[in-house]
Amino acid sequence: MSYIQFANVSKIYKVGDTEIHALSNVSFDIEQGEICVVVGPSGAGKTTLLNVLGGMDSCTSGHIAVENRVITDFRKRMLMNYRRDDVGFIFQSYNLVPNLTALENLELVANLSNRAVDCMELMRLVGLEKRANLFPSQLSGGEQQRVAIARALVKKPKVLLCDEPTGALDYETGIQILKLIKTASEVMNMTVLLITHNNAISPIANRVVTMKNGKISKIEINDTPMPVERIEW
Amino acid sequence: MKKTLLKETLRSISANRLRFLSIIIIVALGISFFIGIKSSSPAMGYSANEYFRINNLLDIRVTSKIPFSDEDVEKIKNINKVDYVVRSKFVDAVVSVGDSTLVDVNGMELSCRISSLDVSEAKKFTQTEKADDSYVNRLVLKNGRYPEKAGECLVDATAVKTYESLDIGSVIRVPAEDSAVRNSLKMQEFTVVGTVDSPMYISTERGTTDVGSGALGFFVYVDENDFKTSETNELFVKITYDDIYDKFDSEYENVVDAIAEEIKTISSQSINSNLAEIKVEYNTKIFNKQREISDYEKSSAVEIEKKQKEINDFKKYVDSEDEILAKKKEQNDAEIKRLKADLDAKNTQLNTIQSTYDGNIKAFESQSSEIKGYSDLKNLYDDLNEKHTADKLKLDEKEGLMKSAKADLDAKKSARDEISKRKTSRTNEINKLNSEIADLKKSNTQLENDISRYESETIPNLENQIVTLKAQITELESKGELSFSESMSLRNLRDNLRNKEKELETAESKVTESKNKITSNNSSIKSKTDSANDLKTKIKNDEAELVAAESDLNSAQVLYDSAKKNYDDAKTAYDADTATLNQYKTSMDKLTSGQANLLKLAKTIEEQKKEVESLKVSVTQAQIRYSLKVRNGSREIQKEQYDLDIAKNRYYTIDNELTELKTSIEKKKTALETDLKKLQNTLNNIDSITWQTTTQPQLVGHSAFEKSMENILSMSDIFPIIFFVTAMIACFVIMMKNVEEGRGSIGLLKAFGYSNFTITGKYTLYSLLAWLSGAFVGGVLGTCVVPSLVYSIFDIVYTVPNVGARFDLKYILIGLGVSFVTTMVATLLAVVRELKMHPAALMRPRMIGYNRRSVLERLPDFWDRLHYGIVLLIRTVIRSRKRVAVGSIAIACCTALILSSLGLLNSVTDVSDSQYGKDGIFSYDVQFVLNAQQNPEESAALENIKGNEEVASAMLISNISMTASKDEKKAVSESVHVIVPSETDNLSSYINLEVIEGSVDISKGGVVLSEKLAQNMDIGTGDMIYFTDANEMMHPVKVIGIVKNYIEHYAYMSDETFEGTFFSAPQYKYIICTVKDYLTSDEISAFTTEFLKTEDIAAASTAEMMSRMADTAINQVMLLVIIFILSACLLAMIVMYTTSNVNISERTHEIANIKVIGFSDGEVLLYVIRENIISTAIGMLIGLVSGIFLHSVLVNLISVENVMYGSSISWWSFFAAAGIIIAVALLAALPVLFKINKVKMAETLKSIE
Repeated sequence: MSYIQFANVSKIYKVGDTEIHALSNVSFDIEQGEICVVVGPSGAGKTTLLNVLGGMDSCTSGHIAVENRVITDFRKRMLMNYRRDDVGFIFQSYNLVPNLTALENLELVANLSNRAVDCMELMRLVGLEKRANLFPSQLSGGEQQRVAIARALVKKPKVLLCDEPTGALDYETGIQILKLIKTASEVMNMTVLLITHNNAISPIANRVVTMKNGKISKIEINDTPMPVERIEW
Repeated sequence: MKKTLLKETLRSISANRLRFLSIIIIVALGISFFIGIKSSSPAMGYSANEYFRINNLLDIRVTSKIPFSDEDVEKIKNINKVDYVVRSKFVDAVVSVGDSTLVDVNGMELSCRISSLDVSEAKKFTQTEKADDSYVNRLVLKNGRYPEKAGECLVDATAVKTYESLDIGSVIRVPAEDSAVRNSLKMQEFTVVGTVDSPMYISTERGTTDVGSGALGFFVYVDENDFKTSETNELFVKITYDDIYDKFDSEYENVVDAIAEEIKTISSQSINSNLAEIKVEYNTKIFNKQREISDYEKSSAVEIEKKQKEINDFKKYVDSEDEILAKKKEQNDAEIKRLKADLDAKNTQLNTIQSTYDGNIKAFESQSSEIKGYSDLKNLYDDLNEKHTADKLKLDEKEGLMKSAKADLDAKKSARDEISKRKTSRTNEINKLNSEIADLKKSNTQLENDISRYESETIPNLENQIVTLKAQITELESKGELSFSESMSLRNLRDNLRNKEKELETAESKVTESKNKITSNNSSIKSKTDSANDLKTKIKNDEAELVAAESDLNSAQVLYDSAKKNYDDAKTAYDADTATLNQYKTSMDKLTSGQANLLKLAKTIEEQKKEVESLKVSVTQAQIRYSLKVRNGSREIQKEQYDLDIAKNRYYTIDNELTELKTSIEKKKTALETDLKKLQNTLNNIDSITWQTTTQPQLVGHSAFEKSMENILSMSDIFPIIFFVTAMIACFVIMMKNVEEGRGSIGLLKAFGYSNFTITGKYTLYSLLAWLSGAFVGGVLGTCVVPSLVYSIFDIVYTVPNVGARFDLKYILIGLGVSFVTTMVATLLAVVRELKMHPAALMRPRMIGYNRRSVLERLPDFWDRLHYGIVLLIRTVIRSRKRVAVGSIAIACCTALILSSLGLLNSVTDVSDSQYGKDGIFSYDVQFVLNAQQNPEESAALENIKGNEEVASAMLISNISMTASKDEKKAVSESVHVIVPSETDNLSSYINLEVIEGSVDISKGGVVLSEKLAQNMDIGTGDMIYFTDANEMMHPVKVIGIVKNYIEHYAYMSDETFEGTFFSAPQYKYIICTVKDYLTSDEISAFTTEFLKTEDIAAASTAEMMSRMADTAINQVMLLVIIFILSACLLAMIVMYTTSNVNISERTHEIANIKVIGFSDGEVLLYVIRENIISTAIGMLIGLVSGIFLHSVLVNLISVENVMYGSSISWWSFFAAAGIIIAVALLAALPVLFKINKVKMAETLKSIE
C-alpha cells in the first residue's frame, strides 16, 4: 500500500451556473519518503490537488488516503488536527505572520505541537540563526522562504506540501530552497509533494506527475533523481 | 472624481456595511449626546420662559395683612417700569378632604391656599390661548372642567398625584371654626371639578403659610364670586419688559428686585401715612371684635341657659313620663302576678289531685290483678292439706318401724361386746402364764450355770488348795523340830486347811441344793404350760362366737338405716308441705282483706275523677284570664315604653348637646379671640408691618428649577464630553485603520497614475459619507429626542411644559465641527501618510521597524523563562500599544459610565430607606398629628400613646415649616422643617443625628442643619442661618452642626433656642413614637388606625407610608440611569466590534495562514482578539476606578431639590458593570468568530496581497 493514494479524486467548483472541473478523476500514489513533483500549466489543477491533500479544501468525489487514513472522510476538527500534526506547508508567497519575528513565527507553530524541534536549531539549519529576531518585512524573499520552510519543519510533518516554493525567487535562491527541501525530506523521511509550473525542477523528483486540465496526463517514475545542484533553468 | 473610483468607493462601503454603519452610529451617538444634553438646559430655560410668558406669570407678588387700598394700587402702578397691577384675593386654611385631614410626607397636616379666579377669562385662555392681560398666573387645566357654579373649585394637579383623595369629585371642607376663612368665603364646602397646574408653582414645593404646620400642601382656585370680601390682600405686578427676556438671567432679577424695593418703600410710606387711620381702623376693628366677643359671650350664655332649660324641661317631662309608665307597669305587673298566682295555685291543685288519682288508679289496677289469683290459691291449699293429713299417718308408721330396728340393733351390739370382753380376759391370762414360764426357764438356766461353775472351778480349786496345804503340813510335821516361825506357819496352814475344807463342804451342799431347785422348777413349768394350752382352746371358741355376733349386728344395722332413711324422707316432704300450707294460709288471709280495700278504692277513684274534671275547667279559665291580661296589658305598656325610650335616647345625649354647644361656642370664642389676638398683634406690630413682596425668581420652585438647569448644564460638561471623546477616539481609530487596510489599493491606484488628490478624495468621500449620515442622525437625536428624554425626567418634579426642541446652534456647531474634524483629520492623516510612500512599498506589507521591539525582549534570560502565552500578551500590548491604549480608553469610558450609572441607581434607591428605614435617619415608626398643641408635662394624648403596650417610647415634638435663607436678602432660600423636641436629650433615640460637621448637642443653643440644606446654602458650622416666620420676620440662629439627611431639609433646635429665636414657645403638635421590635408593618398600621379613633389625634403616618411617598419621586431617576447604561453599552459594543472588525479584515490573510498551520477556531479567535481582551481588561479596571469618581460627581449634579442621594456604590454594581462590559466584549467577539469561520484558507492564501 502506498503512503499517499489518490483514488478518482474530482473537484468541481460551481460558479453561478457553470461548473469548473478543477480535478477530474485523478488517481495516483506516492510512496513514503518520495519527492513527487506535480507539473503543469496554470489552471491545470495543481494547487487544488495540493489544497485537498493538505486538508484546506474538500474534494467533490473520490478518496485520498494518507498513511492509510482516508482524509477525505475527515471532519473539520480531524482535518484541523491533521494539518496541525502531519502536514507542513510552504507557499510561493511565504505567508509569514508579519507581526512576529522569524523565530516567533516558528514558535507560533512549535507551541501547537508536542514533538516540535528546537526552533533556534532549525533556524541554524536554514542558515538564519543570525537573523532570527528580524521581522518578515526585514528579510529578503529567499530568507523569508527559508523561514517558511523552517516553520513547516518545526513540527516534523509527515507530508510537506510546497506550492511553487521557488516561484517568486531567483534561480540561485530557488536552488538553495530546493536543496533545503530535499535534504529535509531525506533527513526526516518526509514525503514531499511539490507543485510547480517549472518543468526544470522535475529531474530531482522520484515521481513526476504531469497535469493538464484537471487530469493527469503522465506519471513518470525516476529511479535515479538528479542532485539539485545539477538542474538548471 | 472618476466615475470608476466613485463606484469603487461606494462598493467598498456596501462590502463592509457593518463597519460603515458602526462609524455612523459612533458619530451619531457622540453628536446626539453632546448636542442633546448640552442643549437640554437651554431648552428647559426656554420652555420655562415660554411657559411664564404665555401664562402671564407675575413678576412681583405683593401681599399684605392690611387690605390694599386703591391708593396703594395706584402708587404701585406709578412706579417706573410697572406695567399694570392685578388685584386678587387668597386665604390659607387647613381643610379637610372628605372627612379627614390629609397628611403629607412628613406626617404633617396639609394646608392649602384658596385663591380667587376669574373663571371666564380662565376658560377663554384654555380655549383660545388668549386672555385679557389682567388674567395673570394663568392656569393649565389638566383634567376636568372649570367651575360653573358656586361651590366648585379647581385643585393642584401635582398634589393630586400624591394625594389621590383630592381628585375630581372630592369635597374640600373649610372648618367651621376657622373664622378667617369663614369671613372670606361665601361657602365652606367646595367640590373639586378640575385639576390645574399653576405657573406660580412649577415644582412640587408649595412654600410656607401661617396656618397649620406652616407648610403649604396644595393650592385651590375658586371663582372670585365665591369670596365674600371685596378686600384685596394680594397684588400681582407685571412690569414692562421684553417678554423674550430670559427670566433666569440676573438682569431680570435685578430689575424686579429694584421694583420690589420700591414697592416696599411705598408700603412703609403708605402704611405710615395711613398709620393713624389704620390704627384707628384697627382699634375700631379690635373694639368691634371685642364687642363681638362680649356679645357672643352674652348671646351664647343665653343660648346655653336656654339650652339648659330646654334640657331640664325635657328631663322633667321624661322623668314624669317615666314615673307614670313605671306605675302603670307596676299595676299591670301586679295584676298579672295575681292572675298568674291563681293559675299556678289551680294548676298545683289540679296536679296534686291528678297525681293521687293517677296513683289510685294504678294501685287499683295492680290490686285487682292480685285478687284475681285468690280462688286458684284456695284450690291449691285444699289439695295440699288433704295430702298432708294422709302423709302424717304414713310418717308415724315409719317412725315405729325405725324404732324397733333400733332396739334390735342395740341388743345385738351388747351381745357382741360381751363375747369380745371374755376373749380379751382370756388372752390376758395366757399372756401371764407365758411370762411365768419364761421366768422359770430363765432361773433354771441360772442355776445350771452356778452348778457348772462350782463343779468345774470352785470345788477343784478348793481340793487343790487342800492338797497343797496338807502337803505343806506334812512336810513341816516331818521335820520334826520346828522353829517358831515354822510352828507359826504350821498353825496357819492348819487353820487354812480347816477353813478350806469347810468351804468345800458348803460348795458341795450348794450344788446339791441348786439341783433340787431345778427339778422343782421343771415341774411347775409343765403345769403351767398345760393350763395355757387349755386357755388357747377356749379363746378359739370365743372368736368364732364373736364373728357370728358381728354379722348379726351388721344385718341389724342395715335394717335400721333403711328404716331411718324412709322416715327422714317422709319427714322432710311433710315439713315442706307444712310450710307451703302456712304460706298459702297467710296469702289467703291477706287477699281476703285486700278485696275489701279494693272496693273502697274504687269508690274513692270515682269521686276523684269528678273532682279533677271540675278543676281542669277552672284552670283553663284562669289561663285564659292570665293570657289576656299579659297580652293586652304588655302591648299597651310596650307602646308607651317605646315612645319613652326614644325620648330617653335624647335624654342621655341631651347633655352632650349642651357640651357640644359649649364646645362650639368655646371654639368660636377661641377663634374670635385668635382673631382679636391677631388684630391686636397686627396693631402692636403695625409699625414694623410692611407689604411682603415675592419676585418671580423668588417664587417657590424657581430657584430649584434654575438649579436643575444648572445641574444638567454641569452634567453636560462631563457626561456627553466623555461620551463624545470616546466616540471620537473610536472614530479616529477606525478611520485610520480603514485607510491602512486599503494601502494595497492605494499603491495600486497610485501605480496606475491616479493623482494624490483623487486618491485622497476617495477616502475623504468615504469619511464624509459616514460623517454626514452620522451627523444627521446624531443631530436629529440630539436636538429632538435626547432633550425630551432629559425633560421627561424633570417633568415629574416640574410642571413646566416642554415646548419642544430648541436648537442651540453653538453646541450643534461644536458637535458637528469636532466630529467632522476628527473624522476628516483621521482620514487625511492616514491617507497622507500612505501617499507619501512609493506604490511598491504600499503594495508590500507595512515595514515593521526595530522600534517595535520591546526592552523586555532584550533581556533574553527573562524573556525565555516566561510562558509563551504571557510572552505573546506582553508583545501584543507593547507592539500595538496605540490600539490597546485607544481601546482601553474607550472601554474605560464606557465602564465608568456604566458603573456610575449603576451607582446612581444605588444612590437613588437607597434614599428613602436611608431616611425612613429601620436603620435610617428617622428611626421612629409612627408620627401622630394632634388636633391641638399640647403641653409636654400634661399631654393626655402622649400618655395615651405611651400607655399602649405596643409602644416602646413616644415624645412630643414641634415641627414648623419655615423659609430659611443664608442672609437677610433671601437670595438663596429653602423650605425647612424646624424640629423642636420636647425632650432635648431624647431626640437621638428617634432621629439618628449622624454628625458630618460640628456637634449635635442642641441643648447648648444653636441649630443643627441637615446636610443638603447646608450644602445648598453653602453654610458651615459657625455661620448664621436666617429663618423667616409666618409674620415675615427674620430670625438669625447660629449653626452648630450639620447632620446626615437624605430627604427634605431639617433644622433641629432645643425649646430654649426656639423661644430665644422666635420669641414664642414651640407648639408641640406632633408625637413621634417607636414601637416594639416585633411588630410587622401591617400591625403598625393597624395600631396606628386604632389611635386615629381617639379624640386628640387628627392624623398619623407610619415610616412605611413616608418611605412609599418618597419613593414615587425617586423613580424618575431610574429612567435617566437606564438611558445612560444602554447608551454606554451601545458605545462600548460598537467600539469593540469595530476595532475587532477592522482588525480581522486587515488580517484575513494572517488568519488563513494560522488556520493552515492548524490553529483551531478558538485559538484563532484568541489570537485575533487578544488585543481586544487586553484593552477590555485594562479599560475595565481604569473604568471601575474612574467610575467611582464620576459617580460622586454625578450624584452631586443630579440631586434634585431637597433630596440627598447616597454617595456609595454597592459592590454588586461593580460586578454588574464588569459583567456588562465582559458581556458586551463577548458579544462584540461573536461576529469575529463567524468571520473566522468564514475565512477560506485556500482562496485567501492563493492571492498575494
